[in-house]
Amino acid sequence: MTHRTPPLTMDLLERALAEPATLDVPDDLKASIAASIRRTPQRSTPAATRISVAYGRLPQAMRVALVALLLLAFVAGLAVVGSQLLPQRVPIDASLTFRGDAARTGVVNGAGPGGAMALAFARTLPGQIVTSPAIADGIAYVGAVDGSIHAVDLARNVELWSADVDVAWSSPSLVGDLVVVGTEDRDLAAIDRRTGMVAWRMPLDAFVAGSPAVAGDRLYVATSSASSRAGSSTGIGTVVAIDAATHRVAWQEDLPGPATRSIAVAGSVLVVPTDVGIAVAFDAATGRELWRFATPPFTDTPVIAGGKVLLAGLDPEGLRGALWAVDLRSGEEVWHHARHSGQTIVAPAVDATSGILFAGTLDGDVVALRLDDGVEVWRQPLGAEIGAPPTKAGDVVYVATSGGLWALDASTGVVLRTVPIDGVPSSPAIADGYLVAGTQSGTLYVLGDAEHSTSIAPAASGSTLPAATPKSTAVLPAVAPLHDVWSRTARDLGMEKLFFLNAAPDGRVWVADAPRGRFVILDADGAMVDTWQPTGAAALDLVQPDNDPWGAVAFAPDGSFYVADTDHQRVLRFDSKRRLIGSWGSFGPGPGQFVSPFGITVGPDGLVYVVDDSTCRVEVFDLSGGYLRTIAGGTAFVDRCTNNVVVDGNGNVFLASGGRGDPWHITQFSPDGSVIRRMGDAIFREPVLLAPGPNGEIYATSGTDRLYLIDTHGDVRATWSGLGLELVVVGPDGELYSTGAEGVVRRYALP
Amino acid sequence: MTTNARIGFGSAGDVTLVEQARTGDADAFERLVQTRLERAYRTAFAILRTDWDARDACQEAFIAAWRELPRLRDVARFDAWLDRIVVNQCRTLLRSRKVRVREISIDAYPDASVELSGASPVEAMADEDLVRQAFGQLSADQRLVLALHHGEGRPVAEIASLLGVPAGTVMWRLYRARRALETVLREVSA
Repeated sequence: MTHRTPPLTMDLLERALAEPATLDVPDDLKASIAASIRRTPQRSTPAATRISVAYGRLPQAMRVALVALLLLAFVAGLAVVGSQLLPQRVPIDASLTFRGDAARTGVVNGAGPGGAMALAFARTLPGQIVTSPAIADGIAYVGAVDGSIHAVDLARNVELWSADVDVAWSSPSLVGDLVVVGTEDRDLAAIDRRTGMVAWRMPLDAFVAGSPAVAGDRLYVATSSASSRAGSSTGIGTVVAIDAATHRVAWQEDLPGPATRSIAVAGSVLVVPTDVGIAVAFDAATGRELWRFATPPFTDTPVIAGGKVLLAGLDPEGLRGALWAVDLRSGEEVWHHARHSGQTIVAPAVDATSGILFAGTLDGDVVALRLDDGVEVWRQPLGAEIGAPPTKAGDVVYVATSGGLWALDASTGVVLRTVPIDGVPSSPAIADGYLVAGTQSGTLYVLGDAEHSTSIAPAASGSTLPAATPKSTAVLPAVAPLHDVWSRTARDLGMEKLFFLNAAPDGRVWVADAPRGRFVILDADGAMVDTWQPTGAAALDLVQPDNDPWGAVAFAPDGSFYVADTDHQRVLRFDSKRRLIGSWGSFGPGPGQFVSPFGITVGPDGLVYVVDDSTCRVEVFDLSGGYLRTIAGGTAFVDRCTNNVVVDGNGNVFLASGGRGDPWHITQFSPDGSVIRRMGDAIFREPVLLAPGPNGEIYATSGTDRLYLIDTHGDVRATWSGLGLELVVVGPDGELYSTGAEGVVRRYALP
Repeated sequence: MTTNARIGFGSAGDVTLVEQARTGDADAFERLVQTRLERAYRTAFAILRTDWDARDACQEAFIAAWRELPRLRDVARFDAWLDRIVVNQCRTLLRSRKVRVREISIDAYPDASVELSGASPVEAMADEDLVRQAFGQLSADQRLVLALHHGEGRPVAEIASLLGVPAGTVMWRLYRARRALETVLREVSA
């Protein structure tokens, strides 16, 4: 039927989309769901841990009987056991293999112990520990040179089982319910995670010193002949792809030399390091060789991230060490980084999300480099040999040096904490808030945050070190702390919540009382001296649909001022007598329109800059609201955007933005809107809010707990944390004011 | 506008049920299903507009919730978490169907009219049918925000929380979705 086109009114839309008057849940749906859930197993749960613990508590006789039963089940159903491998269960906060994942990124999605890490406990194992543990469900599986894999419950400091499979140099990998590791018996051994019983062994006729790589339904290992074990260039090596379910070789290829480090695999590409300084890439499915790349004299474990392979060339002589970034597909060099000394750089932790990698050097530096071009972001000398790759979790990089475990701020390299250890450590594994690292002196160190560390009483066991007192110390404070001059809570000011504030040219501080559409005005000493609530045509709607209190205000030198009336999608202009003298804006993406006008600034150039939060653009107006141009953004929408801008005396605009995979950063635009430079990658966490300092510097808040002082070159000059602030402004005399998540206005004394 | 009664997560009993269910207690999970199925079904129907699709979405959503429940760390957020699973399931279902789904340019048409239609009751019903017909041709994301806001009457802030995006994003998506709906409405009524 042909029909006129009805105007799409809100009323019509709501009537059309309203649910029918008789909408009943089908009677049988509930029963159908109930039946389904009884057929559906839940994912990996803490129950697995409890089973292991419960097993460990059983009397010996019952354990033997249980093991016998399990063995019978195993013999009777070998194929079924094999099928346990598939699909790979991935528990939350697990570190399933050396460096956390098969790409060997060393970046952990879950939480680490954080910048306040402390020793939870230390255990001695009956042999050196030269490998990294795998961790899942709160249990660490760690090999010692006594030949055993030990399962240690991290929450309870209890060893659940140990399995002697003659392991030494291979870091274990978790595959389904199995711990898989290369052995000194020239085979691959799989141990049941729950029982510690050997599930199967697969002869390889060569040593597997690296950690098995697991991808899809296959395991990949690199082998070496006996004569190459000490890292000599003699001997031969192979790469072997193994079907995980059947333990049969899918394909096998020779390598240019023996391989004693771990394979990395990502997508369809397998990268195998060799002890003769050549890395070889293979098609993971077929074993077809794709490319070779030389990293003399000895190639460390590769890292695959962001379409690149990071290859560290280890040089025991300390003369030719370097780190290369190679294109994953072509094998072509993208960049390389070498120390002036030529000293070895070990395999890095590579955070593709922030585009930063973190590498340690044998001469004791940690360097952060940009993944794109290898440019150094920061460097932190720790003064002790770093022979193991670092690990990143959250905003912290964890580094193991001879004699210490370190936590560094990933953004700045500032040392947050160090915990002394005895001996040369392996690469730290992190999961479930724990950091676990062993040393060549045979001690397993387990670090946690304050909560973990105080709640674990080391078990009374001959293998446990005496009750340890955490010796953690903060060795490098960032800068002098900021001290409150005064603080006022929202309640002090008769407000429900507060967020926006600004300092007027007369030194008074205007705090937006968004729910009431008014401003509370404080003097520089924090005394409430006035309130102002525009009415009539100037009435403000400053509460966004998400109930966040908005209300940015910007002052012009002549005392007039502008308010971003966010939920009315307009800007109001008032004279110095607080009389409305103009307004502009409407809802939309077009020039001069707003979706959510969030930030507003009057620049030294006498122009008004309005930041539209939802379109990530800065619209520039003259003082009367005449639209001039748009900087950044446009009409395109971006999910995560920006908040406010800083304009310097030359009309340069600094805009903080990020999201959709783009790290938060600051972009400097020239007055005509062209990009001058980008700065601060990998420093910031959303939300980021900027404020101009008195001498051209910029204060930038990050998240809800950090404040950065950035100089005119874009370099971070100071960092403060733990302030609980979100927004800062600098007053006419250089005083610093903030509002924070907990609803407090503060004035700080700058150091 | 229809505004559904919201099921709160207020009682200690609910918390206990979630705790029990996340350790594998299927009976406890069944009791949670009993009190939440109606809300889930209504949400699914608002988005999908057919009984069978809403059934499918609920079935899959509750199974997914059961399977993933051990991963829910904050049991107090169970309802919000379940809501999100239901909506995601609807989106998955829409995307898996080969329905006519397009991204529609919003730049080629003027702003939506906000005038009253003044139609007769019969015409009004026909108009509603046309809108539903047009709605069925929108993309999954466009349907989601329109159904949740205009169909279910959920506030922008709640939708933002549900979809994990800022409120401004939801406003923008609503704006785009309404413009797209207008465009399709012209086509289906031509």
